[in-house]
Amino acid sequence: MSGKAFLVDTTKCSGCRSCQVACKQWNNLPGEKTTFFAGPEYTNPAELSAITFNHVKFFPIDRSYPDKPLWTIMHKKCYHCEQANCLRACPVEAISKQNGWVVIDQSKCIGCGACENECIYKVPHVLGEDLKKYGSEQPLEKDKSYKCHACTVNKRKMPACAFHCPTGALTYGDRGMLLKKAKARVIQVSADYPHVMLYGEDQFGGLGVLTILKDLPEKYGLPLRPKPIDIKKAEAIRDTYHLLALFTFGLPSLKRVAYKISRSMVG
Amino acid sequence: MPVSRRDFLKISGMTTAGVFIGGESFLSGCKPSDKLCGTKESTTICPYCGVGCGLIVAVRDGKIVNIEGDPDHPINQGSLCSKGSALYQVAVNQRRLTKVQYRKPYGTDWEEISWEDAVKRIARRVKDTRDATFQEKDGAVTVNRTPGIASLGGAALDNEECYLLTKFARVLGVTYLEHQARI
Amino acid sequence: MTNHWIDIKNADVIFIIGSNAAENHPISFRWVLKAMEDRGAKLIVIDPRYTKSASLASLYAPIRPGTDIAFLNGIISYALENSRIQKEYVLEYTNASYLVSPDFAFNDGLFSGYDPGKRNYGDRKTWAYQADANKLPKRDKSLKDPNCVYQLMKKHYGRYTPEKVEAITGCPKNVFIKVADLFTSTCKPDQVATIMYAMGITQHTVGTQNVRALAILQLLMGNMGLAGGGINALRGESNVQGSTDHGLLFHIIPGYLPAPSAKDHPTLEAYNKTTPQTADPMSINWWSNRTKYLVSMLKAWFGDAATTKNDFCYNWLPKFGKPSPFILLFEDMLKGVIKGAFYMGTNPVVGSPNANRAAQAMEKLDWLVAADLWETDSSIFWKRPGANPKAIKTEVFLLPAAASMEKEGSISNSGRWAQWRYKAVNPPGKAKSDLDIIDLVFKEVRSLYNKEGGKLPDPILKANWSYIPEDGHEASPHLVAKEINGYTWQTKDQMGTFMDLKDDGSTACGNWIYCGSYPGPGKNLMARRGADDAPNNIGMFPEWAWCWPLNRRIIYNRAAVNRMGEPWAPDRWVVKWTGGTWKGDIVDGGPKFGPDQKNPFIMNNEGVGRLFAVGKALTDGPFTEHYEPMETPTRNIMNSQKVNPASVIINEVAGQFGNVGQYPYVATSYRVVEHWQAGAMTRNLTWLTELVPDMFCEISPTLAAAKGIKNGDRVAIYNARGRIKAYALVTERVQPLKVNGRMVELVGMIWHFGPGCAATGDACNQLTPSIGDANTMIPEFKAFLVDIRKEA
Repeated sequence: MSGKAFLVDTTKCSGCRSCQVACKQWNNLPGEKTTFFAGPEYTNPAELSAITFNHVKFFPIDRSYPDKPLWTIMHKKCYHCEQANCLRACPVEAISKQNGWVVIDQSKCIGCGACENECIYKVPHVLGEDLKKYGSEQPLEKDKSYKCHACTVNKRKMPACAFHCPTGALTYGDRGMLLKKAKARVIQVSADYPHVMLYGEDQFGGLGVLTILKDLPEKYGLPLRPKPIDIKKAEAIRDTYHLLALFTFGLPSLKRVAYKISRSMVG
Repeated sequence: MPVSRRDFLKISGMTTAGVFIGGESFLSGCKPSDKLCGTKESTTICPYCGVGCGLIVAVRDGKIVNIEGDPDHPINQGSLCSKGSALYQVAVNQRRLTKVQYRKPYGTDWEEISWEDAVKRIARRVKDTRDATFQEKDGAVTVNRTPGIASLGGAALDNEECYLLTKFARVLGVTYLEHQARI
Repeated sequence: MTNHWIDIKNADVIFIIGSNAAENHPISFRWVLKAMEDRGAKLIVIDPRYTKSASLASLYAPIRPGTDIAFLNGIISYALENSRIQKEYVLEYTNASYLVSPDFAFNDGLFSGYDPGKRNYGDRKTWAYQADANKLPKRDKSLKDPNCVYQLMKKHYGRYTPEKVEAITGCPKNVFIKVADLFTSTCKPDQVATIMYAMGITQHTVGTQNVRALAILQLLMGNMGLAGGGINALRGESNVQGSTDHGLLFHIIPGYLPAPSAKDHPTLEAYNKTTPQTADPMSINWWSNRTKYLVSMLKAWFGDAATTKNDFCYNWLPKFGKPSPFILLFEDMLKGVIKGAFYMGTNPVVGSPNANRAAQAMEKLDWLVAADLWETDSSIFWKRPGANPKAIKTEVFLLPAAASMEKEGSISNSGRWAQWRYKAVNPPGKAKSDLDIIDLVFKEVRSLYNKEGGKLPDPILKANWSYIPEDGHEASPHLVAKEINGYTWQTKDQMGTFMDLKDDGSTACGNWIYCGSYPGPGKNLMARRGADDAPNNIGMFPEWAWCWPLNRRIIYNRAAVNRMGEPWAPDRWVVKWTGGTWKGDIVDGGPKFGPDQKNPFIMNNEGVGRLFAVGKALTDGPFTEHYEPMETPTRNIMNSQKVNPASVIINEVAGQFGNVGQYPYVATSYRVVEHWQAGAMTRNLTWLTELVPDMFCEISPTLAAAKGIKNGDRVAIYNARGRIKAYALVTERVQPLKVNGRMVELVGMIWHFGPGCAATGDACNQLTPSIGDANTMIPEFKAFLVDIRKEA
């Protein structure tokens, strides 16, 4: 790990979505064209995408708690896994660790979608024609995979999302310190949230984004014990892919099919 | 709070000049490709709600390249909401007006006119309307008012503009004077 | 705000009502959460919906829109019944012990003196104190006299039982009691609650009385003047504080001086006769200085022409006839009285109540000058959907204006901090600052009067107007700021304090409350960036920017100490009196008076906080009383008045008011963090329209089921004033409330959308009524009736 990490504290999030916008501002990412709301409550767009590296999801309110209705608003970005599936699966080593952060090098990326397929958190996305977006000054190259790089690409000491968070719901700092802080916070708010827990300490060998959840992780689509892709299996898939890639004629759509076939062949 | 330019801003000690040179002085060894390399920075206050958060505007070659929270500002300490974080798109936006637009009576579209022309025509309308509707007396009371003209708005203007607008309107005799505080 | 944003961190209880601060003032929650985390402060949120603010609250209470007074009166009653008041503070610093005229009465929702024919309370003579031989109000410090304010309050507020509160507001009794108990826990001298409110409090026919109820609570708890306390109106626009300070309203001129009216102020002498007076040696009665401020403003405006002999050109100030608040201004526009209008960054086609009517009124204008960053819904009113441009006579000038970072000047936040902004870049193309636009137009008008003469040209020709610096060619905000600050007329020295302003023409000052903001050449205190806190360490940051008045960060701060000058809350003291001097914040009312020499509420002529609003301060009653909104789903169970008996009803729109038989659902309007006000500043920004692209309403699952509406369906919402389309967000955050035995559903709407800009949608305000508060005529945006149906 880099020693640095993010801490998402959903007990402090007011859902202002500054993180979602500040990321776009700093990284010159275009807005997505949306209609109404694509997800529950105010969620927009539905999920992370090739041009949305930070996402705020508003879960439906849970009135099963007697005294206090529970409304979870959760910031999500790349979790920067220690044992990252995307990195293991990438057939061209376009994904690497930079100061501990999982970073995609678009100049190497071939757009095969391996990372997109293997990430159980649905983080990386290959930019395709189907994504409805507004124009931007520095258009992104199509058929490349994109995701959060913790502002390592555009160089700043504190990533734009955490820098701009008003309430302290998203902070950035030394991972050890944040872990300590998070555990204390979990105890502090346990009376208000009986199922409160810290997610990310151990998953995938430890995540670069720790999250204090108001309720059980499954409720938020976060598996408690995910299994990283086996290194040998990943290697086999990559080998198969390289064989099949000979027949893709450099067409991104065929590359993506080839990756899926490789995956099913290795089983 | 370990933020990027806090120390630099303190050293530079903003005074009335307000603009300070950034670039290498705070990003030692920056590459030209780095976003803020070689920019000039100045502080501003957010134009949206009434909290009054501070922001830093970074400019290169006369063009804004970044607007973000001011970490030295005691209220927001660098943080912003989604609107404040989007302020760059107010400055750099294809929809901004760059010329005077004029719509003639019963017209179906805008025409472009010059500032000189616009100011002349507006002043003429103001004078004619004032002269046509001016009331010196209301019974025995001297009222010196111009009911034919109204002025609305101001909550998005600077103090100096608000003050000048008050003075402008009342000197002309305007009493139909309202703005967003009422609504 | 009596206090300021950072000061929220000093609170023990944070009481948010009529505000969704987490959504609309997100950075305030930085300080709310800090208070909660560091001090263990409790957050109470009262709102018709379970909002983002509510999601972070310790205690949430639902409420039917338009019933805040019932709820707040219930808390006042709880405090009085259970002796949960800060007794020493109440005795010393409020009028609780003052004796009220025995002719004062309250009967079935009407206070004494009501004239039903005129729908007003006339001269309000019975709303007065009993006076002794020295003309001082009589007092009974034992609080036992049946005519003392305290006893009158017990009688008046005792009627608001928890059962009544539940029946009217829909908030379950047990939840209400929890709120009342938690809030009144701050009656202890060293426990402090802050109240944060916004348009959910003011935009009602009882808006002013809503604020009054909050003020009464804070006085009873002894929370005014203290750090972590106060009454804090959260301002929605970046400089709506400053624009109000500078008198951009029909009824005030800069510095909250009354705008001259033909009836009350025909001459300067008459104006000065209305200056507040006091016989009480304990009262500072700051408004007794009013003449100095008016004369200094006239000197700033008319310069050499303003002399003692001509009453400083007082005659040149226009005198209004009948009041013209926003709603009535548009009624007069519709009647054709107003021929031309300036719209300086404003958008009434979206923001006005009864917005269809406002747009129709604009068609009566001969000319419209709009200055803005872009086309707004209002500057294109002539081509709005349904309009025929070929039938609209209005000539429109749309002037390209500079944005905030393209010009220099100051803005004042809710905490009264005037902060300077710098010009980072030139405005795009030929856009100009509003300052330059106003200057150019004025000078061109002046040149026409110079050449041609005309009606009363003197105010225009002789106005003191010179804002182009020697080395420049555009109006300079520094020159204007210096005029606002004030200077000695002879020597042109910038002044440091309004205490030195004179009523003899020797000083000029554009706005007395800003005196001291720019006290010398190059001394622009609004541009200060001092990063250190004051020794009391409560987050005042006295050398950051500048704050009116006189850089006082917490107003009424004399109330933060007892008569000995000892802070009520020593761990977050604001000021204290030691060794014959004041320490801490700039003390209210001047430093020479000790805490036992003067009363703290210096802007009232008796110097104490008014639990009973004496005299003509308010149009609609000295105590707060529940009345239903103009459009209500139920009857008033507190009295037989329906709506506020003193609210102005405009005959022309009376037929548009709906009843629950026709329009069964309570509607309210509000905002989301991603958009701002009427939307022109956000609906053009793709990073924000990604998040909230469309007009939507929020309804409960039960209403949705009853109407066959699913989440994401298009719906029509309508009443007699309009019909709009929106997407329906079906959410458990909205719940029906049981009101007077019947379930009442809510239709909540955002009001940011309109027909112009990049992201378009119908304007909520097409549905809102043309009726306002009895005192301010702020429209009743927050409680009205609609029906809703699924669009085919």
